Amino acid sequence: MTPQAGLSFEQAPPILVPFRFFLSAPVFGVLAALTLLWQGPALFDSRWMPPALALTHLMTLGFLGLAMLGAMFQMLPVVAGAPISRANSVSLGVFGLLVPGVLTLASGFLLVSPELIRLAMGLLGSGFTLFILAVAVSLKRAANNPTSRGMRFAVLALTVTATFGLVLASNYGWGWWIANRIQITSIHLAWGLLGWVGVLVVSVSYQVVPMFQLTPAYPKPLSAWLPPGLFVLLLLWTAFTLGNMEALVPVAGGAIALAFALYAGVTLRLQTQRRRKISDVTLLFWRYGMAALLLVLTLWLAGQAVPQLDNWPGYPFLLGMLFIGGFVVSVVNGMLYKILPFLIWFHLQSRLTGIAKIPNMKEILPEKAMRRQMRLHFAAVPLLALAPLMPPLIYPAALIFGVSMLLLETNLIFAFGVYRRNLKLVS
Amino acid sequence: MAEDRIIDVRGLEPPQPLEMVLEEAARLEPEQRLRVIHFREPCLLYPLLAKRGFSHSVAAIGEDRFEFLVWRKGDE
Ligand code: HEM
Repeated sequence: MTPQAGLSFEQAPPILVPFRFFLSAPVFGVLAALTLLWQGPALFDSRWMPPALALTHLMTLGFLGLAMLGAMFQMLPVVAGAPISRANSVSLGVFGLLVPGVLTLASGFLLVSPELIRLAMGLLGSGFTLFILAVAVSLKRAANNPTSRGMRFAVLALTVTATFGLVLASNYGWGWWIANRIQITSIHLAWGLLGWVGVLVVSVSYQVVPMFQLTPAYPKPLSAWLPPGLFVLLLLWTAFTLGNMEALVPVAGGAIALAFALYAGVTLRLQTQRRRKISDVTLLFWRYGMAALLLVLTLWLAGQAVPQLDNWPGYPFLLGMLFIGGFVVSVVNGMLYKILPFLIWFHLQSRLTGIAKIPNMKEILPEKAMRRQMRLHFAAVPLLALAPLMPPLIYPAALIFGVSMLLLETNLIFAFGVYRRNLKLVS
Repeated sequence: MAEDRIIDVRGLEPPQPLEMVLEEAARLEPEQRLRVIHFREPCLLYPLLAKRGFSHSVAAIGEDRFEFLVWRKGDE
């Protein structure tokens, strides 16, 4: 990592730049749970039905998308040394376009309304364009470390995902039924889940796992090669898929699965070598997430070997619940519990010194509240994963998941309240 | 010139490394410098130090190790 000459205060963005995203993300988790409750077992009829698509995007664009964009706004200046210029306006613009965009996309699916889908396309298209351009400009000046390099690949993958997503949405907006819709959907979801979400989680973890969980650093070759390696494998997989090279597609897919398995294995191992042995909520969330990732990779490989599994309509739901709910939501949830209190502490520290005592992390976000929410999440994931097998389970699963997301929201709001109350002491 | 004061903050959970550096910096004697051993560059610490009237410079970078010096502005 090249050391940066003194980072100025302006480079740490105002607290609302990331917080508007963090504080809104769980609301989409609650909306996803309500969609599940509303649709009930019928949801599992087919992954191609509009309610399934609404659910997917409430989670991927709403919960995960917002949390990940917030994290990027925060980390680009601090980790990559590449502040986004006019961070506050850009963050507000992106937020103001994407939030209504996700809501209209999901309602467009649920109400089967081409008009809403077209509106969503405009909102999401311009929101992502603004974000991608702003980040591209800032990443050009970024320090050359594995995290910022990984972020470049993740943002490229987001560009691919959004482009294919808009093409697919135009199908619903104008009804011209693209012939190879299924192929394009596979490419869209692979770049979205493995490229954008997967590579960003990997790159961010190089920083946050050693920092917050006090583990040794990720091995250098792994941290340097994993993001570009995954990117190249995804390119190959896409070329094989578009070229209908049936024999090669699973080879590239298998290599991607192994790369993620390696990452999960290394992360779990690093966590056994922590400098501090007390377990905490974030650590447990991450272990759970890595276990879910390993499980979903195993199930995916099993599907390649056993055609009956691959042909079962519940199979994509099982994979989706485990990958999105089990793996990504867990690690994002765990990270939010470190990043939010830490940033609140930081911003109070810079404003309150000499005026008042700075609350510590435990006062900003009490352990008990986090644990309660964590237990609900840990209970929700297996139920969600089993629901495609036993559809009535969808009700308890959705209920528990919804309450967990609601508690996450109230926990984050509580922390932000501590910030606001303390700030009043200054004025 | 007083001897450097050395602290190792590698085993601490955030934000303790930042808190400890700020506390130790405030206790520096005139002309004394604080040498901090960390495992990464603490970018967010710099603005906090600057605000309190401290300067810093990077002292050494190694595998899993990042050392920097802190002193009162005007002490150089
Ligand atoms: C501009 C943003 C996006 C738009 C407009 C969009 C649109 C769509 C559309 C229209 C489909 C349905 C394809 C079909 O039935 O023909 C779809 C599927 C899917 N999208 Fe997106 N998408 C976007 C972003 C994302 C992102 C960022 C992710 C993941 C991180 C994602 C994950 C998925 C998944 C997993 C499916 C498959 C769902 C299933 O099989 O039930 N999408 N997307």
